[in-house]
Amino acid sequence: MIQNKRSIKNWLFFVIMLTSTIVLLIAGLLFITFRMVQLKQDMNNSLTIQAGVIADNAQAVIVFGDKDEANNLLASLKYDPQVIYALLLNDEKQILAHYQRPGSDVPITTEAIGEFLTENPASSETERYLAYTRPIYSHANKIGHVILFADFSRYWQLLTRSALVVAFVIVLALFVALFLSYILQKLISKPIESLASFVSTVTEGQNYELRTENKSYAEIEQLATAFNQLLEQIHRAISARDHAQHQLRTYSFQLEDLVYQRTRQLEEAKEAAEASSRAKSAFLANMSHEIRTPMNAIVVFTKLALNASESPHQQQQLKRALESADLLLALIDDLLDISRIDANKMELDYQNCNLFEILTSIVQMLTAKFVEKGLEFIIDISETVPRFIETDSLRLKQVLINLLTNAIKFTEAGQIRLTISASAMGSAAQVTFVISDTGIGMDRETITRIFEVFSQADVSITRKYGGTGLGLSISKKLVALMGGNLNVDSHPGQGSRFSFSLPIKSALPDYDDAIISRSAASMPAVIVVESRQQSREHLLKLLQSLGCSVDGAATGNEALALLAQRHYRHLLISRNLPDIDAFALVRQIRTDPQLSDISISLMDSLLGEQAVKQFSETVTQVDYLKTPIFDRTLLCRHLLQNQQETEPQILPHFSPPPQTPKLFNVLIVDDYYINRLLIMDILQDQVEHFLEAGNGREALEILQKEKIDLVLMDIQMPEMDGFEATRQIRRQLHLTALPIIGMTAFAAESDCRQCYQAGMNDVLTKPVDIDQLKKIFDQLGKGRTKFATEDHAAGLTLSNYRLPGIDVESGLSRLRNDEEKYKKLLVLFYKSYQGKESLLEDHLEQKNWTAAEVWVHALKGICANLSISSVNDSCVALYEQLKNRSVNQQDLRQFKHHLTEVIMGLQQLAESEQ
Amino acid sequence: MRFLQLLTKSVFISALLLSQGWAIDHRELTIKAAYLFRLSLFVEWPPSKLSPTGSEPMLFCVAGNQGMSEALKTALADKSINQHKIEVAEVQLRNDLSACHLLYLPRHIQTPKPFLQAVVSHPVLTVGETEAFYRQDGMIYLYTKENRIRFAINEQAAKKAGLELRAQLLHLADQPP
Repeated sequence: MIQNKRSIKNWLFFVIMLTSTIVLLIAGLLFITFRMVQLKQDMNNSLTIQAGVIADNAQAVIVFGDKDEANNLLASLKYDPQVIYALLLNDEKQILAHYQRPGSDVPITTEAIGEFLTENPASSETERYLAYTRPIYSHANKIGHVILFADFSRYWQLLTRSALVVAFVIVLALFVALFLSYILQKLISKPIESLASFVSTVTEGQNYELRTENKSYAEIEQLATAFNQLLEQIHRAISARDHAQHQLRTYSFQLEDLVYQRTRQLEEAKEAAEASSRAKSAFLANMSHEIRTPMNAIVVFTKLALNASESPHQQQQLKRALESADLLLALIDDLLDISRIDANKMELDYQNCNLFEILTSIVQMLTAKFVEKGLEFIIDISETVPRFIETDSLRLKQVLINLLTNAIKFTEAGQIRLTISASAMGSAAQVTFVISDTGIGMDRETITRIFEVFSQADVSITRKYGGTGLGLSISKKLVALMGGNLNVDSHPGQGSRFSFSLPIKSALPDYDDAIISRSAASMPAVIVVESRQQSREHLLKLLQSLGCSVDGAATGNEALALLAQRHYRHLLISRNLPDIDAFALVRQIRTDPQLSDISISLMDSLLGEQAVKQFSETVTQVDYLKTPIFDRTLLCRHLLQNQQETEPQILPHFSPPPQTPKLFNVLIVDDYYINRLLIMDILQDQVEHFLEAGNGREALEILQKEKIDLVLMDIQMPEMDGFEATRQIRRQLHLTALPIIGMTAFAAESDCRQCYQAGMNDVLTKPVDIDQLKKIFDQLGKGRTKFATEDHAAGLTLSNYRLPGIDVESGLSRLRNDEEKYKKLLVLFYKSYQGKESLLEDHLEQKNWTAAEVWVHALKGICANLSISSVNDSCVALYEQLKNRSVNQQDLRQFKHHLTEVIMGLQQLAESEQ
Repeated sequence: MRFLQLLTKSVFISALLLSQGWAIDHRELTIKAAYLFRLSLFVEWPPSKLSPTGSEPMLFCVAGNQGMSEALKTALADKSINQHKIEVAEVQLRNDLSACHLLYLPRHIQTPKPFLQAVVSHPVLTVGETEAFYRQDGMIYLYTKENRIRFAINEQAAKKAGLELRAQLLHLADQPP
């Protein structure tokens, strides 16, 4: 890095000065030298002249040897200050005369004179003097010499003077040079500086349009021109860039426009597609409805015909027809499902479902088939599986039923096991369902094909086992939709194992577990009498997990033997005993007075429920447990409940034989004449008079005119659908007591909810199940009188309230769906127990065990009757503890929590009932 | 032997004495001759008398007949002035004195007048040694003073004769006592 930048100004200045100085010095030196030479020359000339003059004038003197005159002659040399010494010699080399300047020395010795006596004039020079010798001739005869000696004093003097002058002149000249150079450098540096300042102006202002007009020197002009060109280029480049940017912006706007247009187009296309898709959905939905309706008619009429038929041959034919119709319906359902799933139209309806209820429903559906084939059905639910899960219950049911149906289909003997387990991974829990059977199994090739649509193992199997062939593919797709993956593991002859896991959000904490685990100490000893090993072992495990001490017996005699050895509180006897009939065994046990306090429960599928119940009523009291047993909570409750003494009943049990009072006027609202006919057919015995309406509006008109006892309301109707009609009936017509039963093609729970919310009392799914209709009808009929007399202003149904801890359905069913009564009772409960949440705590603080026990016992009974299950369960647990005079604080807290919850929930109901 | 030696010596001494005596005279003549020569160096004869470029001899005339011419000849033997060889001649009045370039009247010539009249208005340099010579318009008067030879010059006389005397010579001339 150059530390001190060299300025061109200073440089020029310096250069000029240097040049001048050097030149002047050289000139000066030359001049001095010249002067030296000149002075010498002058000296020589002077001496020459003087010597000549003297020589010319000295002839006579020398000839005559006149010394005096000779001296006189030489004396004239005094006028030349240079001459310090002079000699006049005759031809005999004798000094005739000499001259010596006063103050000077004799420059030479006498001996040296000889050198000077030359033929011709000559000069010689030493450091100290310059000598000039000249021979003197007279008439061509040399007669003598004159020698002159001059010193350099004058020489030096003159020279010095010259030098001083030169120096002075040089200095003066240098000053002039300084001045001139200063001016001159300006001439150069000015244009450069101006150029430099121009450039900095341009760069600072970023103004590339400026140009410079530098008219100075060619080179600087060149530079300026180059600058101008550069600026021109930059300017052009910047213009080009700006232009490009502008263009870019224009393009980007255009693009934005384009994008906007495209987006709009896409949106339009999307809307069109969505509209088309919606149309397809609507089409599918309508198709579902349209297809079901005639199918519905076919099935129902065929059933009616079958019922009415007396010829076995005809019955056979009709049965076949019915089977085909069922199959067709099933096929149609499956097809619609598949097409919906494939078209991504399948929407899952996630609700908070009771898994155990789902299983119960499935069991109900499939029990007949199990019993028919004599297969064991074991449901093994792990303790960690929550009771409530968020899922689409309908689809889950569909999958499980499909898999279980297949299992049943392809198993000749043995058991089918449904294992449900749960595993939690942080917040993501999953529930795993495994359906395993001891059936025929599948080879690997078959496994790869079974999930394909319309492929069963082979044609022979289709013929043998029936089925639509779509089930597994639908199941697989459904499971996938629900976030799982349906897998199969099977080997020929070794049965099959289908499994899938669903990610499930655990909906509610399973408070039942607390009760179960806590009650371990108070669990009774149980004998399980079951011949089938798998079922027996399952039951034993279940009971052990509850904390019971269990023993198993495979035969009745084994059971008797066990009974003789130990004391048991419970006996669970299966109807499938090889050696003795279960009833007989019961009778036998009951005859033994020692075993009088044993509670006996007979285990059988729901098909045998009636028989057991009848036996219990007529012979001896036995309880009934529906197989397959899988619900720990229920089991626990069952076991504990049976330990109770008689409970104070608030309400009397109602057990008169069901009668079938008739209804007078029933309004059927359906846009299909056939459907109306159907229902009229079914209910012709129970109904006096039918009225028909083709849609909601017509129904309203009729209701305004006539007095109707019951409305059967189809949902999908033109002009006014079932929901709207129901709402209007309730609000506009104020017919809040009028029972309205809805009939919908959709079975999803949300649809049912919608029906209830609209104001319907109950919902049926199409195709209308005759028995179902009859059952509902019966229930309504029983409570009919109450309905007719009471006229309540508040028409909101219980389902509109959130009543935590209360099993409303169970409570209602207990009261034969007498909602008003139920409500009244709940309000009564509320009034009785409002503010009494802390009563138990107070009793306990005062160590008033007895009072606490009695209070809890009473509460338990009431809750049991009203199906306030949460409080009931808490009471059950606490009662046991109270008996032992020690209460678990956590249970106590939970009890209080439940009671408070229930009362708070009932508050709303109570207020609206005022 | 001694006698011879003595004889020789006496001869030598007498010769010497004689020569001395003779030498003294001889010497004086030589000196005079030298002066004559010297003086001639600074005199210019008119071209008609002595051509500047030629080489005819110059005639130095000595008046009397004392036998001086021999000595003078000897003294001036090789000398020349401007290529002009110097001839010495003893002359009498009867001779044509106008042919001389220089006329020397030694001391013994008591009456220089007739000589002077003979060469008057002729370019002849007259050199004398007597007062009378000088009074009678002799041009150059040689005399001895303080044992040295001096000369006095009558410039007009020389001019009249058409002779030119150089300044230097004039400068060196003395006034006669």
